[in-house]
Amino acid sequence: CGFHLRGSNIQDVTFAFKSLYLKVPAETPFVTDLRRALKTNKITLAQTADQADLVLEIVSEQSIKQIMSLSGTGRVQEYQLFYRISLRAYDNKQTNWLPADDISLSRIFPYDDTQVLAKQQEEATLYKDMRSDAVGQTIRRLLRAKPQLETQ
Amino acid sequence: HAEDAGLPLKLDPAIKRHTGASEGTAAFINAQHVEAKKGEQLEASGNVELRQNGQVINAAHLVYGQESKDVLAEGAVRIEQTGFVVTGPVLKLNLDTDVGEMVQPQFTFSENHSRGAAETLHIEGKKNYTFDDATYTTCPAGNDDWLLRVSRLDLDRATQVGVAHNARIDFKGVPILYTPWMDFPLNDDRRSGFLGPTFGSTNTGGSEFTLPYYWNISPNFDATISPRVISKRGTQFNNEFRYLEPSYTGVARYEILSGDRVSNTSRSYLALQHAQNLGAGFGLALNLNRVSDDAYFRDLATTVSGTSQLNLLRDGTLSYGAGSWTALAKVQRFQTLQDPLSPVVVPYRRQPQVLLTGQQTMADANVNFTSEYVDFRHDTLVNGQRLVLNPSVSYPLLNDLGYYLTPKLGMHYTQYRMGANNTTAIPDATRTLPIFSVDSGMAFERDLTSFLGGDYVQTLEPRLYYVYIPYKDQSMLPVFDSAQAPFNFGQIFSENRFFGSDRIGDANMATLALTSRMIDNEGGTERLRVMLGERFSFKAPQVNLVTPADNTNRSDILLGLGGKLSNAWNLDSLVQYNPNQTHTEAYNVTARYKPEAGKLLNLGYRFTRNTLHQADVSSQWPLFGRWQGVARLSYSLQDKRAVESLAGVEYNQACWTMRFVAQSITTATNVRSTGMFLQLELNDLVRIGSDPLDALRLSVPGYTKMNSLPAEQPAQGQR
Repeated sequence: CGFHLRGSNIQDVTFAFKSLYLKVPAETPFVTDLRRALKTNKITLAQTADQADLVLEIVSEQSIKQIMSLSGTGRVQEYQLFYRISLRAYDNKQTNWLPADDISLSRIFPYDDTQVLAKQQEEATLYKDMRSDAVGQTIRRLLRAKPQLETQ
Repeated sequence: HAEDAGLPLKLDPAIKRHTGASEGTAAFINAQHVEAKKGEQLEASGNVELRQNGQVINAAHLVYGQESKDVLAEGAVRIEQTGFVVTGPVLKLNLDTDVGEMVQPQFTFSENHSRGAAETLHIEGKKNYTFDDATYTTCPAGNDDWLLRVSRLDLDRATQVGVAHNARIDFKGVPILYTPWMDFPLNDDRRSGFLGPTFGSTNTGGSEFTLPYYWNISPNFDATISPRVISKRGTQFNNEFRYLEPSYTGVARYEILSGDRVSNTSRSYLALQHAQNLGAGFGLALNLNRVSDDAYFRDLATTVSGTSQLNLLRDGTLSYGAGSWTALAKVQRFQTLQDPLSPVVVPYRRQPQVLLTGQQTMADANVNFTSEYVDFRHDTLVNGQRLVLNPSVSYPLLNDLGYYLTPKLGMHYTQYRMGANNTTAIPDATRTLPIFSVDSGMAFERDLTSFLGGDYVQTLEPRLYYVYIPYKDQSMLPVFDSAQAPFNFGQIFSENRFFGSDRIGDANMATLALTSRMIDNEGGTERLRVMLGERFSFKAPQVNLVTPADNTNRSDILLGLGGKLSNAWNLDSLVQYNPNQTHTEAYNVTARYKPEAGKLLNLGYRFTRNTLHQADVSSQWPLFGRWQGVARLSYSLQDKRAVESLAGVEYNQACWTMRFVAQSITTATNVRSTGMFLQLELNDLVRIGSDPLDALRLSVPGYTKMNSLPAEQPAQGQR
């Protein structure tokens, strides 16, 4: 059916760059996880933007918690957790490789006011889960990043 | 004199504002016809233009006294300064003192597109203009939708502030507001001033009126003071202070309704959020909330995020991070706002909680250390101290693009020391459990070039996860902070079936899962993801917190489908099927359609057996013309009624915005709060601030602000 083991095919996509500079607003757990994932993928992390083939800019990282459903007594029954990474990638000629875009994830967080302490841990776990999902998606986007044709 | 007139000057439309002396600067006159009369008087006619540092005066006819420096201009007189133009029939002005007068003046400010007219204008210096019996508006010419009518209007061009005396605001010809004094900005700067007033009515408080005042204390410090007059209760003052410094930032909120006429008590809410960087890796965070009584939010809050609160957090955290180590000390308690018809157990206080975690990579092995000490306190439940030490090491035996195999071995040690309220004589105890797991998977790919008009890669990723934890009877251990984890994709790949360390579930189970993704080769966006997973136990688990115990050997089957189908459509769905009972335990689907900013439709349908059955619709949509709508409806199919229904419309005119919101929300057992709010915003007169649509926007995930003006509170400096 055409499936082959990833990496076994010569035509498989590979990173079109060797070194990367991560431009981040702050050293968050996402950034730490992303650095680790990039190292696992054998990408050299440059110290400055000038030394890198590509700059990956994490423009923002947002966690939003919204009430999804209320019980008949007006209490929160479910929250919806949103996690959004805005990113873009460009080279030192300012050519876009990945135009500004978001990776948006959400999870339903069933809530119960009688289990507040356990729910705090569950919430943290859900965010952590979305974070590793976002790291995976970032890597998959980087795999396909290439210089974009000039627009206009 | 004649040489003055002979110098043709090019009119520069962008006159730079000059600093330094303006008085006594030479004046230049250009006209079609200039003649000197009686030796010292100059008379010019025909397209007369008088330029003096900082301003240009045009007129049909102009007489200028060379000794007195008095100017008398007549016929379509126009004074222009940077961003400011006044026109009128006659102008008297002394160029030395810059004191003068004009009758029937009309004026415009280009910076905020405002304009006005008056009976007389008194000029007292280039920067000080006073208009008598004036009108002022930011509506475009020919549109008098709103007018500020004032007996006197002072415009200070140096500080760019307008001050109105005896001001009346006419909206569509109807007087709506009177104030003896008010000031407003003449440009777009952040400045103190009133925010849009809100008129409203609620079932609990009767009619109400809110007029917030924004106080721009300094670039890093501001306040919003909102008096809210509630007809049945009295006046509530809602105050918010914000501060932002390089090393610390925070918000303090204080709401006070002294002498509520319904409850005959004083009611208040105090909240403080503070985050501080102490340097050298140390950080401090405070989140303090205190409310005067259990019904405060039910009675006074107008948003679901307020009324749904049951446990109000109060905690302080000191954190330290150094490389791969982080340490955290926290003190935490809650104020529980009981619903008299459905009371809940108050959570434990953590006084304190100390966490220490570390992570280190040593020769490809990932070494983790987690530890926690908590002193759990409660007024009625058993108190106790708990220590948890959990070191673990994982090592990737195989790690390649196409496959991986990672075993992990950990040790979980727990020690309890019981304290007060130990009525059932729970003994001090220790528990030591090894935790072993193996995570493995493969990834296959195939190209789907020109599939549905796109270029995709489809993946097939089987994953096998195995975890082993021996059984240990834990029924004698207390439960401080733990609960059974809900069944979902996160849970089937985790070691413990519980959140919290009071229970470590015995496990000899394997999780089988298959993920398939459609990845857009153009940019790598994940367009579709299908996940299927199930957990199998080789021995039915025995440790449980809830009855009936989940002790079957086959877990439910999870099937998830979602992705960014196109740039407009997002889909997320999940089905949980119980093969033992052969019925669906839960399913949900949420879809978002957002073809462009300002057009948004969220659809949701959720079912959890015996718990929840609900449909949701929320949307932001341009209606017709200048109307925009926002709405949310949550309907409980289980209770056969709407739990939350909110709708709002916004009408944006050139110089004003009107908002209307109606809402009905459940706030407690058999208690509903309904209300409607109307807000009128006159652009650049009352500042843009929080508005009644805010609550609604919060309930519509993905909402985009359409107002071109910054409609949130003015941003603080240094952001």
